Amino acid sequence: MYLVINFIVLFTGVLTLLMYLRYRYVMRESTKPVERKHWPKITILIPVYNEEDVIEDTLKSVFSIDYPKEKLEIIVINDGSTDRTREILRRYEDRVRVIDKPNGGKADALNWGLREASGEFVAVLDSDTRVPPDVFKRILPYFNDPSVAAVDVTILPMNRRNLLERMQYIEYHIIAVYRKLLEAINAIYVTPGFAVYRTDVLKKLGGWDTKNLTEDIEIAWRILFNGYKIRMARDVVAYTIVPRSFWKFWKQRVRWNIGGLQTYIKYLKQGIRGKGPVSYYLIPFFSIGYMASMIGIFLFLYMGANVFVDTLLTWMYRILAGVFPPVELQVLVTYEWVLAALTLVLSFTLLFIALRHARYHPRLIDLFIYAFLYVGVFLPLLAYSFIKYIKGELAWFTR
Amino acid sequence: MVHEVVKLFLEAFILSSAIFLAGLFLGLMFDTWRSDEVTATIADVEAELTDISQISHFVGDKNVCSWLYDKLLQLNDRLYEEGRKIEEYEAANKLTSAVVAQKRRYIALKALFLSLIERLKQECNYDYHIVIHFYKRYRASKQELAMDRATAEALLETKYSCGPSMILVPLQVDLNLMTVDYLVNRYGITAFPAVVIDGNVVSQGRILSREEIRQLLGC
Repeated sequence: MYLVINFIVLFTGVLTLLMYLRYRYVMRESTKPVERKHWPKITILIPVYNEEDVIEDTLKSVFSIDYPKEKLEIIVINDGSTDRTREILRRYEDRVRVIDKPNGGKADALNWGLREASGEFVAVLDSDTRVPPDVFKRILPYFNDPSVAAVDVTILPMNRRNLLERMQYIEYHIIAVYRKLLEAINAIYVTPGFAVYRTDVLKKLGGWDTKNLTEDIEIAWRILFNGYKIRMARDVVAYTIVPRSFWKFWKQRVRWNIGGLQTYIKYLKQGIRGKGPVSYYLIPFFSIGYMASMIGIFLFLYMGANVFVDTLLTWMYRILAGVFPPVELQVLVTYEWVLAALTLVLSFTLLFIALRHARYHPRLIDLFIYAFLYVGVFLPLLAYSFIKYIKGELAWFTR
Repeated sequence: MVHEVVKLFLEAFILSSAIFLAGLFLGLMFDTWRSDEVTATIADVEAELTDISQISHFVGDKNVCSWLYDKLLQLNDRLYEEGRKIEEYEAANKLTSAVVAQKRRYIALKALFLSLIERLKQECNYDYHIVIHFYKRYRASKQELAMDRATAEALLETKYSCGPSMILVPLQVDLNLMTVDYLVNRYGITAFPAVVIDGNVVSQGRILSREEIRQLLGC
């Protein structure tokens, strides 16, 4: 079992490294704001649910976007907020269209907005995300290619004070680099926080899937599955608020995991036979990943239980025998250690490559905690998500 | 694009297989170094034991008894330390079973050592206590293993405090060695771990505290 999991981790690492070596040119790509005579109309959809703390700032950042006002339609979908959100929105109704609807989740709110959208493009903005003013002028050139259905950007955490926030800050940098790399094989599988879509494509595909917990993952898979491309403007950075407390972080990640699982299972059957990126990359990659995780979870539980029982029994008998030997730490190099070391070297190489491209140099201690503690949380997190998913507890986790 | 990605997967598979095999090979090398070390040590111990065994035929000569005393204690310490090392190596070497084979040889040597010190104790009137610790390793339950670990630690601590008046001989019973099976039978031991002090079974299948051992040995 250990050998299988080690091989899979090694394989995914090598695969990513080879992808990097072959496609690293995408990292050099940069965007420039363009000027045009005729600008396409863009509808910005902002779904909100009890966002009284942030909605005003979000709107102000949207108002500061450098784009012809008559070509910008701003729709806020109030998904049955029970706090002061609606009251605040009332003050901006001269510039913003507000749709009030009963609470039904983010995907449902987006679909309400999509039905009303009159723009050629639809930009989806999370209420806790801020975009730079020149965002559209930099993103639009990607749509010169008619097969591009969506463009997303780099998302970074706005808050990075406590340890958990700093860990996410490192992680988001790495994700951004990895997502750009995936663009090279047209396999960007998630459009989080802020993304611009072609309205006609979204309408043709039937809008967002209301049954999925992560509509931003599902829509990306569907776009790819239907033969369109997703591009990423890596040098356009949007900032978002990330969970400050561990419990909120845990809930958010369980929701992501379950949404990912839902999407994977939805496309598994049709995806195996297809020819697009869902078939040639996403399904195989996620299958391998899920398989390694499952084995990893069992191995972890099995080994953990063994060590626990052994330690407990040994100490019980030591107390009975009246012996308290000093702790001996002698590590002999076994083949497991050699393999783990090789995998670790590879993982760190990838980590440093990603951070170099992100031009981010975290403190060494943070990096250490990230590699050995933060990443370690992912396995129990996935195990918990699997259980929740199997039990069918798909409540809207953030609400 | 499909072909490109398939090629990528294939290359990654080949490359990771190569790294994986290299890792296994390196691990195998560490295993081999360790088992070679064990083999060399055992050969050395064997030579020493044969030497003592030969000279013990001349115990009629008074000088031989006093001469052998220190030598036996030294060898006992060495046998004990090497035994611990072999068990550590055995736990680390998972790719080959070379160490296990050497271990049988080693326990057989210990049984030989035991018969030698038992004989010399009588013939030379030595005053040391002979403590035999019988234990199972392969066919043992978690409980037996934990009990044995604590027993071994209690015996070792006593050995340190008693000094030369105690000779400790741990013998693993599940290695299919005739001499060991005979000894287990002779003392009528049915449960493990078991401790025999100067021919008397003082515990079997239960934990023996450090205090109890000290009282039994009177040191």
